Amino acid sequence: MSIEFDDKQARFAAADLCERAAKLLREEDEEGDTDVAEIIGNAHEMVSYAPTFVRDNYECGLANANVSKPDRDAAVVAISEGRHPPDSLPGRVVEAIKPAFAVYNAAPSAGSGEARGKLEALNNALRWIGVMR
Amino acid sequence: MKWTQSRCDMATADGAERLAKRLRDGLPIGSAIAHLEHIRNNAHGRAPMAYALLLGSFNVGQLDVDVAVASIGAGKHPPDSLPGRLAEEWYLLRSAMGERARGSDDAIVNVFEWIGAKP
Repeated sequence: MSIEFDDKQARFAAADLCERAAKLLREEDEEGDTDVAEIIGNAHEMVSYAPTFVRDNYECGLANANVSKPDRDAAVVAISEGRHPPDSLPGRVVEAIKPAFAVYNAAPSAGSGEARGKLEALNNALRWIGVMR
Repeated sequence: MKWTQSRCDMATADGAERLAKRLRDGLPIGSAIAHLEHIRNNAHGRAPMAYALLLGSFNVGQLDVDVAVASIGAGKHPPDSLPGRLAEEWYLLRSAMGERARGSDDAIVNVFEWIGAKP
């Protein structure tokens, strides 16, 4: 895959790695053995060195975060197209809350059914980032 | 003051989330990642100082820096951290929903704005 990132895409990809590192740290507590320092190091190189190595470092960082090869490829394509990777934090939060917004906007005086759906969506988002388990 | 590794991990996670937000917002990050590495490694028990330096480099006020350092030391999320803010908005929303949904829309918009992903 011959995709390279420009500066803005490199920052987005580095941000994605930082969020994955933070999520791993919050999930693992004291028992985890994922080398988060490696992921942060990959993010460091992405925003510090030649553009040639940016994409390689991003893929390497994703691999260090235990992301599968198909998901890594999808993430690289998404960043190169200016989108959040499908499994990234903002992407997932937006995805989780969007349906709730649609329901709420359609019926601002939401009854219990709409309210439940909205809360469920937020609940999913919060669970994903590790605030709730 | 010396932190355990779990405290260092909490501070690193908070720092990484703040760094990610700055990267997405196009703001300068300076030597933030070097600070993160120091927090994570906790060399010579310097994690609290490195964490305070990181927040300072992100223009967090001294009072908020002190509160954040004390929060991590007590095993809590800093009040202005991402999970902390989301949790706060969540409780606000849940409370508002119980009072005829008023205010819940604002609460969600605040979450989106804070993470830089407006609906």
